[in-house]
Amino acid sequence: MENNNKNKKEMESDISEDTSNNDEQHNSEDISDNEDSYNTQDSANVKHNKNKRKVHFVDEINPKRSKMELLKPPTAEELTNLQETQHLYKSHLFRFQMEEMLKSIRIKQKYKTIFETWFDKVKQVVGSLPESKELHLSASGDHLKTDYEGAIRFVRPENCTAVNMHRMFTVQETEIIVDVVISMPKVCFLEKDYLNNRYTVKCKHCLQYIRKKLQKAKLVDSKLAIYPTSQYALLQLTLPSSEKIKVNLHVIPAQNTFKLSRFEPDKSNLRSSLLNSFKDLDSNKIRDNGTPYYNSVLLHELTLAVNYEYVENTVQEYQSVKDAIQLLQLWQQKRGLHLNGFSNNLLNHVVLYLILRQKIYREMSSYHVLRNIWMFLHKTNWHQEPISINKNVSNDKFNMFRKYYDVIFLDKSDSYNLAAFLSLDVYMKVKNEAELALKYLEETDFIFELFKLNICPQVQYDALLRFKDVECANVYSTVEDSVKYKYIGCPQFLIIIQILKILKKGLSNRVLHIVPLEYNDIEGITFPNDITFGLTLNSANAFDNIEKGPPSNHPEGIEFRRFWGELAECRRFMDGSICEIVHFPTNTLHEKRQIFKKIIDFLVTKKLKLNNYQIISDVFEETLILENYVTPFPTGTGEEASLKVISVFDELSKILRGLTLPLSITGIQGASEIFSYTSLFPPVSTNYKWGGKMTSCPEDCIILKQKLGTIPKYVESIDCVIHLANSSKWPNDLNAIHSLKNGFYLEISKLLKEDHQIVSNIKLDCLYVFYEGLVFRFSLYLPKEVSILKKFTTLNGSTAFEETVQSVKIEKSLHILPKTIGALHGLQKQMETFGASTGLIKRWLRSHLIDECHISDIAVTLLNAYLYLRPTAYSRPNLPQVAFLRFLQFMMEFDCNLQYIVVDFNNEITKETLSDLDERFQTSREKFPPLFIITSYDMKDSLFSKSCAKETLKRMSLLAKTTFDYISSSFFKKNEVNNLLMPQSLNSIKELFIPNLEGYNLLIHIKPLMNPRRYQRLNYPNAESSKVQLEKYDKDQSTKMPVVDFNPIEKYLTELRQAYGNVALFFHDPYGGNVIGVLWNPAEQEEKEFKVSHVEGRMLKSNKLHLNTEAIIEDFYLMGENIVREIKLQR
Amino acid sequence: MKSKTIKGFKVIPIQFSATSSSQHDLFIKQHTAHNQAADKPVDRTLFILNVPPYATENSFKAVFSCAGPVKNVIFQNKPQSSETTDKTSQVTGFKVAYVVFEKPASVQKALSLTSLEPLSTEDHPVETGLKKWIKEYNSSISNQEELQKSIDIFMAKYDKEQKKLKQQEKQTDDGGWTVVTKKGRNPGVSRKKSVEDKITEKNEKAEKRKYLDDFYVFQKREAKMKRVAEMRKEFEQAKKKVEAMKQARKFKPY
Repeated sequence: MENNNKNKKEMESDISEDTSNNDEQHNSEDISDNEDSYNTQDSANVKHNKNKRKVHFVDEINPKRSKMELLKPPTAEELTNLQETQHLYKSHLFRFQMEEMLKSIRIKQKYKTIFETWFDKVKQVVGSLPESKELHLSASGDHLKTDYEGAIRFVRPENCTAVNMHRMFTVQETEIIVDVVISMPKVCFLEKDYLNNRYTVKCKHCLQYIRKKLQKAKLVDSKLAIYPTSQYALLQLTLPSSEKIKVNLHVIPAQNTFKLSRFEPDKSNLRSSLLNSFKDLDSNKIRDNGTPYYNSVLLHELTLAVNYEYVENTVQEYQSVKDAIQLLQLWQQKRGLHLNGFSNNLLNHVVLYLILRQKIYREMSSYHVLRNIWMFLHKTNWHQEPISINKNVSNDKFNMFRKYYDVIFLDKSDSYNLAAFLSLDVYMKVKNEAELALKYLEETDFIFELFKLNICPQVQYDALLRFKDVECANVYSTVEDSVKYKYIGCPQFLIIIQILKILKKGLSNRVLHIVPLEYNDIEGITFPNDITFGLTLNSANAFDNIEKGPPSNHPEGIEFRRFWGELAECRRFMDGSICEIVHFPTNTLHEKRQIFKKIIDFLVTKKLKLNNYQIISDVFEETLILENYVTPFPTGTGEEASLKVISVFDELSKILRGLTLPLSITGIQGASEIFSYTSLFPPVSTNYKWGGKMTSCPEDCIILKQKLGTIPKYVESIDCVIHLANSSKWPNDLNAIHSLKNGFYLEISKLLKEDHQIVSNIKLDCLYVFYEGLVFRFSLYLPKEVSILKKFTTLNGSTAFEETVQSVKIEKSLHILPKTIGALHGLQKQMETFGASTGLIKRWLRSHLIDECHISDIAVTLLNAYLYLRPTAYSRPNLPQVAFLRFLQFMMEFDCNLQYIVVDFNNEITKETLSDLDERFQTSREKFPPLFIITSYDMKDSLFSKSCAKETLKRMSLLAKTTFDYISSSFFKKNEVNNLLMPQSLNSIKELFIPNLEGYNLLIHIKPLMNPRRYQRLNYPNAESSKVQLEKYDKDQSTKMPVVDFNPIEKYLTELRQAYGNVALFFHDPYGGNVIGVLWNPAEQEEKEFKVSHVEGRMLKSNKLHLNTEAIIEDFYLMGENIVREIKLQR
Repeated sequence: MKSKTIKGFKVIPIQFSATSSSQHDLFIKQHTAHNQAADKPVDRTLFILNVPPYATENSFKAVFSCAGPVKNVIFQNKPQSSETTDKTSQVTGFKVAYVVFEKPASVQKALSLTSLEPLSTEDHPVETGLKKWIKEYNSSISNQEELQKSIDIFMAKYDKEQKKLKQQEKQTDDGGWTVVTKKGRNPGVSRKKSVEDKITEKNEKAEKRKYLDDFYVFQKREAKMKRVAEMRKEFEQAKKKVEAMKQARKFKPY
């Protein structure tokens, strides 16, 4: 902060000139010129707003007084402050947020003092250790072995420093971690101590000795100290005085004890395999091969203090850089990037590098520093063009390093590769995340997703692959010998690299990233037990049916066949070539999404010979499958059923457009979510019969019999809108228009029957057409009708248009909805998971009894669309599960008071519109509905979410949190033994879709046979189910219009809500739910004074009105006659 | 049993059918209104509150026929003494009823009742639930021929009316005035709000063009001030927003 102020003063002179200049544009460009060359492109982006729509909002706030305040002459200080933000940050908003964030992660003085007093005491203890002492080499339980024998000479350590003090501690989730380094004088070691773990073992013994002494001084709690299994002489301990502070105590050799060039990757510092895990190797060969990873471990120790000091000295004066480092660490932690090779040390060196190369300079704000670091990470390729702290490192040196490492970043000594344990895949992921961060920074004014949101693996990656109790010997046996020599000393890393290699070979371009996750000591000397990999799929190729290999007669073809074994087959292609391929037959998109799983199954079981593993990628999709139907064609998770509907619709609209009508049909639009693939269970084309107990058919339409024991299966009609050619002849009278519309329907109906033998009927001012086993419902959209509804005469006699309830209703359902559906359809075409993930969300939400009345389907769809379209720090979701989880996470964090939803389909909404809206939203929140969604087609009214109540949102948020936490804890938690591969695992997933019925006042149970959608329900675990066969549509068998949209439960609910909506709330799962939950409105439960407007549903008791609960419950029975089984009172 | 009264209303319980176990309270009083409506004559009309949602006009006619012959029953969502014109809007939920008797005496007789017949009897059954919905569904299916006929009749009538109107329009009125429309040889400006707005906008623009923007010193000063004000506004807004976010704990990373 102090430094920032200093910067301000320095900038002041510049800025005062600027103000006289009056050319602000020019100034900001100046600054960006000074900045990195990369930065120029984005400022251009912001300003281009051509061809965009703009909506003007009336500014209602701004009373005169505040205006006066705004116009009073500014002080010099204020002016500089204001201008500085413009130059150094993105906006005021951004600056404030960064400052707040930094404030909240800054470590309190309290902890600093605690540490400092502790550290002073440690220094004293270390200083008073005996000059020299013989330590006997005891057989420790440590895995680290050496060939050293005899006693160790302990000499009092040279010094003791806390190395990452310059950042004022490191931030960690619940802990503060400090590294303390104790360096042992040169005399402790012999010349050849670099060999065979010798000096590490020595250091470890010294460390133990020091620990004992510290323990005696009560500075270390023995219970709270652990030795990690790595090769470092390292002790992790918790301060006795504060549990929050953790200290990593390192013991290292003093500077210049060893020559660092001794540890370059091509040198061998092991003479024999001292580890059980590499026993099969020839010790002579070990001597001849370099031991790069073993060397890196030693180098890390040897350079630790020096490098930290170097970084510290350089960064010292840069407050903004220190801030940026803190934020970067937070960013890393939120993404789990700090645990797998991208260490803090490496991060510090990135900053150091940028300072030394003058890409970061003192005047920069932490915002610019952050941006530059991300830009640097994004644009550079250390695996192709290695970098180093020193400027003139020879190419030969780099080339030598490249032989041994994937990613190269050399430190000051030119001998140590800081990125030694950074596997290429992790590095690529870091680059990818940096790119996402930049994009987010560019497109939004918020820092929420960068630093606050927990981007845990299950929402970060499309799929997770988890290994339990890895049989490492099996993996080890697949490694080539030459590779083994390279990784000698670091078995953990070897196993991970090997698994990665096999996975990458098999999945090739189906994945973008495979990232090893969640392990702390990558340099560990034991084989790993559990490993988790995060996979990001490549949407372009991941779902291909065919893995095409090389031509069969090539040597690679033979290799391909050998790799894929019996899966490989030979195929002739259109161009005449004969190639090796692997073919995965699929019928549905759902099956296509499983291909990569099949490949992993093959690779893991056949190639790596591992058995205990699980792939977490599609545990929820089962809930989208129609379990109770046997459908005439595969419907998968709904996409294929939607596709079928769309193709039938296309045929039908061709027929319709071919009809000769007084006015030609110019367009037919779909107005149902089926057209955007977001409908949960699209209707399936099938035969409809009549007769029997349920139905009869006097004419063209099947009708119901008076006494029904079972309700026929639900047939959902598919909404469509017809546009007619323009005509000026429409009458100016609503009734006449209405009549003419019906006339049109009749005409179409007649023609369809005469020319095409298609059955149709006019019902409730719509035209129902039965075609190819599906029922379509057409409505005519006449702009004239809307304008008549809107028209009124103003006081001065001129004609004006204003929205009325009726006009809004028509516009919404016949104009805005189809357009929105069209845009959503486009979204599905771009993002294939959109439909299925929306389906999942609906299945989940509805199963918890929140139905259409609480939040409409289209509003839910738009919410999900928002998650796909908004600027975000996530990568694109390639599987429905990850999108569903992200929705849950979004819902958890959603704060309707602060946020509104902008669904900008084709980037049609301008920045000005948004900032206008933002201002109004902030100042008069109460004028907007709780869930405020604007789209390019509905810019101000939020038509689809108007009725959604705050309570519903709260409930959704709570449900999302519970669900997400449950999923996270049961399926993604580390160290949890559970076997998702077992069939019963699906049942526990289904538990997430069982509503909690506690808390409702009444439960109305519906007779199951009276539920026409009974087949759509999710079969609860262990429940019996019988499948219903749906026949394939046959034109000759099914000639009559089926009973359509007949759902007594829906009717019942509508009547209940109309009559008792203000007395009670009703909850129901439309997808086959047989229970209606009723919640009394607490305000209505109280007695009321007599008033004409108060009497509804009440009775008089001692001159006060009381709710007539008893009679109302009887009414519930009455109104649901024949469909209600019973009503249960709950506490 | 002496029935309860409150604020001029008499409370009479009513039940659905003979077998029902619970009742709703009807609040009954003679209809009073300042401006009498033709369909609700004050002396012959009974005003009833808290009518259960499933009550139908027919069932109410039957229930109150014990007080005398009922001429008409009008259901409304809210009390409204003027004539009910909008017949299309649905009356749902608990409603208000106006029972119009043939004779004024019946009103008094009705007010003296202590109990009422159930709504649904064998002679006048009230249908609810599934039966009702099935009937609704079956009757919603239109007979195409009948529909065609009704449309033809309506349109013939409409066309006739339109023709008549058009003829009237063409004639000059008694005082010798002709109606000026936007069509024709000498069209007038159409009297639409949008057109009027456009004209005012145009005028404003023209007015603005008369002055130079960056000419006088005070203009420059004002422009500068305006920029400062803008920045201040942004500053204040950002501050407010961040404060709100802080309240919502958006800055606690853990």
